[in-house]
This record gives sequence, structure tokens and C-alpha cells, in this order.
Amino acid sequence: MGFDMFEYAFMQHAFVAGLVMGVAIPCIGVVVVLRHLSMMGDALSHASLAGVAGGLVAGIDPVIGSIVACLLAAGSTEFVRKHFAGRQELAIAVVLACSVGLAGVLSGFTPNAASFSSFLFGSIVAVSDRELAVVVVVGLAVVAFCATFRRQLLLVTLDEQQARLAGVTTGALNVAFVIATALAISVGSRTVGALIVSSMMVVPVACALTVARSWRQMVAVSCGCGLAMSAIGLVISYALGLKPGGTIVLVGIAILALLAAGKSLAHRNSRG
Amino acid sequence: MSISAVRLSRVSFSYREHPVLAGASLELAPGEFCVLAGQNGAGKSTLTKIILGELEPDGGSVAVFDRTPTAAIADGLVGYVPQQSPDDYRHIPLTVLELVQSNLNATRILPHRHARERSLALEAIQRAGLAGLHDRLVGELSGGQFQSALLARALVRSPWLLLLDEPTSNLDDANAAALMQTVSQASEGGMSTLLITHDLARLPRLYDRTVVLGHGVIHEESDERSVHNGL
Repeated sequence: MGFDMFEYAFMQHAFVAGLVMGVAIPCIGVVVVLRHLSMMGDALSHASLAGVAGGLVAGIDPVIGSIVACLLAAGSTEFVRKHFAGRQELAIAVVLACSVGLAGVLSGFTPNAASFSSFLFGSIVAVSDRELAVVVVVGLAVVAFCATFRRQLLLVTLDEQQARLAGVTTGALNVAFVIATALAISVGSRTVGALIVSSMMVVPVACALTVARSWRQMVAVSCGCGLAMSAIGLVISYALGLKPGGTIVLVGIAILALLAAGKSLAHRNSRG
Repeated sequence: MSISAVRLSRVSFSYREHPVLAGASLELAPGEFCVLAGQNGAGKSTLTKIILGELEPDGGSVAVFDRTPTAAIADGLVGYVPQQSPDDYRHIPLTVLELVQSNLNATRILPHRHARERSLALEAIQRAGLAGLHDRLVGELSGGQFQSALLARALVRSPWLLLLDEPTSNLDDANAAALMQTVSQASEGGMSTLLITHDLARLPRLYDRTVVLGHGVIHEESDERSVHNGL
């Protein structure tokens, strides 16, 4: 195969988008998973799909539609959660159900079915110059947000009450985090696909949970696995002619299986 | 009038129609180590939330070092050890050092002074009796070690007032005694300490004073022997 793949502009775009999202999405994922909000990724990715369909029907940029829908869904989750008195998982499930329903109904009115389908499993190798710029700007903004507020995000993840006592404005931080999550998922839907972006949020974190022995390692391994998933997934998909979004996630699952097997082996050896 | 670490004056609070506090008063002097005892449901958690500024009393007044609770917390005067167990941290790969360090400069956004923060955190870990365990995962600590780790997290900010919510509830007698020893030693530097418990009988007498919360009001231990004996 060689590395002739990099001679093509579309593969260069795919690699840049994949690597940026490979770091940005797991950065969000670490907090989402450890706050037991893994389903949030699913709910928002389906909301993004509804937004894409809405955008196509209304004749506006589907990525903008996706971002708006994700932000609305995130806000609705908070509203529904208050209604169900702290049952966060139920609130997320209700928003997920609503998003799936809306996406299903609106998809029947989209003028271009192929364009809508491209958001289901992503089209990372068809990212235009303008879309690449959006992916890079949003991705780097998400990484910068997570890096800048890493200490505050850790405190809120561990214990929201303690974070408040330490002076963190938890309400504002939660809102900012939800916006960052919505942005990452919207842009991720365009690249790896709405049905796959939540896996990219969770699988690298699952890899890190298997081996990390500190919070610092947890973040580093999550981002490392996200990068590896994207890079290896793109190479394999190019070489074998597979769909890139699905291949990226399957590579992540393979990494997780290898790490789990390695850990189990090491545990067995240490026991003698 | 001298400044009190905590001054509760005829504090009342109700959840809807259900009164929990009905004129509770308490003065905690600077440097004093006081145990607030009360049976389950007596209103200890409500009182804790009022001192932490999380609940507004319906009546009466609350001051922490002559400030509102919110101002005292904003000024970094209050350290809090919540009622938690190691199980709450089993799923998070977090070292003791990271836990303690997380409470330092929590509002700081600019690059952190790692060496300084690390040395402050290690000092707090040592004060809490966990020297040498800073690289241990929090979720793998024993119950007693875990409470000490939470204590270190509170101590790292050198609070003027330390509030502990049922710190011995998940510990056996030996570990409860060891933790009380550690808290007592930490209090010797002039820090005021208010320890809340439902199980006074298990605590070694390493504190200065006991008050008892019952029927919505706070009594001095000597005034309320019958309640004390019932705990």
C-alpha cells in the first residue's frame, strides 16, 4: 500500500479532521463517562441527526442545524432532569427518544437523502476545505476549553459540592461543558458519523480505564487511544476500502480488547 | 463581642410543613474542637448545609467568622469532609495526591505552580497520617485511609473552620479512634473543628465540648445527659 494515500487531498483532510476529533472527543468523554453520563453522547448525536435533517429541510447548513439541535437537546436534558427530580438517566433517555422521533420524521422530508445518510455514518473522506476549517477550529476550541478548565472539570467530576466549596462556579462550568459537548458531537457527526461519534466518546475512555493508574494517565491514555483509533482506522479503511467511521470505532474496540487481554495476562503473571 | 468561628442564633428551618430546626443556637470559639451529636433525622445534615451556605434558614442568623457562610467559603475559610465511602471513587483512577491537589487553587486558570502545590499537598497528606500513600489509588484505600484522604483534601487549604460530616460512620472502633486522633492533632494549630455524628459513644474524648441536636434545638451536653445517653 505504501503511503501514497497522503498524496490525495481528501485523505490529508480526513487525517487532519480525524486526528483533531480523535483528541477533542475523548477529552469530553473522560468527564462524560466518569460522571455516569455515557448515554448523553447517544442523545446528543441523535439530536444532531435531527438537526441535520431540519437543516436540510429548511435549506440551511446541516452542520449549523446539528449544532443548534445539540444545544437545544442539552438544554432540554437539564429541563427534563429537573422535572424528574434528579433522574438524570431518565431525562437523557427522554431527550434521546424525542431526538430519534424528530430525526425519523424530518428525514422523510429531506430533499437530498444521500446528504442525510452521509451524517449517519460520517463522511470523513469527503470533508471540504470549509468543513475542515470548522472541524479544526471547533476541535481545538474544545481541547483548549478542557485543558484550561481541567482542574475545575476534575473537581466537578469528583464531587460537585466540594467544587462549589472550593470556589468553582459549577452552574456556569456545567453550561460551558454542555456547549463544548454539543459542539464536539455536532462536528463529530459530520466526520465520523452521528451513529458513531458517541462510541468515539466512550471507547477511548474505556481503554484508559483499563490501564490508567492516575487521573493524568486517564486523560493521556484516552486522548492517545482516540488518536490511534482515528489514524489506524483511516489507514485500514483506505487500504481495504472500508467505511472510515465504522472502521475507526472497530479499531477502538480492538485496542480495548488488546488492553483488557494484556491486563488480564499481566495480572495472571503477577499472581505467579 | 469576640469573633466566633460559628455563631448560630435561633436558627429555624422547615421542609415544607415539616419543621427540622426550631431555634437552634450554637457558638463555636476559634480553635475549639466541638462534637455535634444527634440521632438520625435530628437535622444534622440540614444544619451542615446551613453552615455551608447551601440552605438559607427560615429564621435566625448564621455567621462564620463574622461573615455570611457564602462569604466565608469564598474567602477559603471553611474545609469540609463529606460523608462518602471509597466505593464512590472505585471507578475513577485518581491518586491520593491528585485528590488532595485538586482542592488547591481550584479557581485558578493560569498555569499552576506544580512544585509548590505538590509540596503543600504532600504536607497535608502527612498531617492526615497518610505519609507514603500519595501514589495510591483513592478507590483502593481502606475506609480509615479514605477518610484521612478526605481530611487531607480539606486541610490542604489551611481552613480556619473544619466541618466533618459523620467521618467515622463506616469505620470500626480502632479506625474511628485513629481518625479522631488525627483530627485532634490537626486541630492543635488553632483551627476550629465541628464534627457531626450520630454515634457519640464510639468517639474517644479528644474534643473540647459536646453539643446535642434534638427536637430542633441544640443543647449543651451537660444540660442534656438523657439525650446523650440515648445516642
